[in-house]
Amino acid sequence: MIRLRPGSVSPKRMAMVQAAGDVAEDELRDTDAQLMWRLRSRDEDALGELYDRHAALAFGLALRMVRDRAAAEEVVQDAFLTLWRQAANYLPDRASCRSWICTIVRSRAIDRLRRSASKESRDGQLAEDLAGLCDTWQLADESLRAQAVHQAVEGLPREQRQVLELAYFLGLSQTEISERTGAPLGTVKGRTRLALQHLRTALFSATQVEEVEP
Amino acid sequence: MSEDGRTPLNCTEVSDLLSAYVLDSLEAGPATQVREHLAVCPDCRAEAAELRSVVAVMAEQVTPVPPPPELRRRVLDAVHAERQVPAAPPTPRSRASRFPWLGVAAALLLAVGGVGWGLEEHLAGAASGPAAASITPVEQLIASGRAQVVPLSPVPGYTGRAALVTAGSRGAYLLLTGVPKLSGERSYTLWFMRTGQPLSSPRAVVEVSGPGAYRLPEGPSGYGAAAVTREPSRSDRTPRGPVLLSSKL
Ligand SMILES: [Zn+2]
Repeated sequence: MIRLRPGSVSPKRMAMVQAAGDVAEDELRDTDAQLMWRLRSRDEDALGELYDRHAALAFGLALRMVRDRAAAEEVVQDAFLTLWRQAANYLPDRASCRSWICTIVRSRAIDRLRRSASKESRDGQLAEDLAGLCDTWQLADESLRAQAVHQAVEGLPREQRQVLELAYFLGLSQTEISERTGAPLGTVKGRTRLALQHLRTALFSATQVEEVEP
Repeated sequence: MSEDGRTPLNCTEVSDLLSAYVLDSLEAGPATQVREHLAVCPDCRAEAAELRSVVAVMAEQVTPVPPPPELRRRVLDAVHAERQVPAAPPTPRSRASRFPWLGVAAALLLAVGGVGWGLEEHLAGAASGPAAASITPVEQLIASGRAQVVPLSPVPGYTGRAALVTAGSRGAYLLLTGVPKLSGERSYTLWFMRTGQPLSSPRAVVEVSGPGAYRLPEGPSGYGAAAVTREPSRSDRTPRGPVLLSSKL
């Protein structure tokens, strides 16, 4: 590790510099990525802070999926415990902590919705989802991102949106969606594919516009 | 043939099923076939990562609902009870994750693939200095193997990453990822220094406020070390802030 020792700076000035640096450090100490780093070293306070930031979104998502407050509370509790256990696998370059939490909450909610599936196979699926998650939009401002997602989903053709929501929020399989909507299985698969493609295009153009701003 | 006697899927067939797969909505049989293909096909893996990130933002549609206050205590108690349990070991990393942005590059490449940017024009058109903040073409340059990449090592505990990318006549770039965006006058400043004890004549090369790829006015050749600091104010000719990342050249 290299230390900067500019010859022109007096020790006194250097102390002031150090102090200024420490202030900046304080202001930035608690980014999500840094909290995740603290989680790796088993820092319970860091989990508390992450909880304070993301529990409302986690609870809202769980509630929308399992539609029962007590069950949603269990999902959230289970999800933060999973976050704690999985923290060592987190790569901040690849995904935002928020995306991670949402991915875990959804997986835990699907566990409840699909009680028949074995816990082991669901854990394997979650590990794969987390490892494979590459969050292209993690740089986007959160509120702008929420707005962009909202608009993008609203902008989908109705039948694509329906398929996407049944799969995402209710955890239905393609066959179950076909049974529920009366659309042939091939059509459901086609709509699922188009829905994500449209969403991706809409999100990409939304984030492009944002990057142009100073 | 796969273990259970099915014919392996090709990329086109996988691409048709991939959206349902990343939504965890595909039936077990085809899901296994997709998983087997992903294990051996980096292109489809990159596509899957890109689609997963689309799925992940679906949650943003949800209206946040404050959970009951006592849930916080329950969560922290449950975690506290686990304290003695060691953390899960990191999953084995692929070769690419030594340079995590290569994975990001692969995903971004897919995202812009249809846009039709030529690398050459884009790099030629990239303005000097902080204005050029488009990661993709630089990462494309890295992926092409035509650039030299020098990763800067983070100080212990720092989760940001940086690398210097030099590509002859195509210029030199600072690639900065995993760092929070700074507000106001603060900046991430890249310094080049001459070797010697102590390192002398730090020269501020570029000042930027967040992650991105930035064209540098000069390459690192002739310097002995590079460092990124977080500076409390801009246009300072002397480093004041803490060193975040550094490397000997
Ligand atoms: Zn493939």
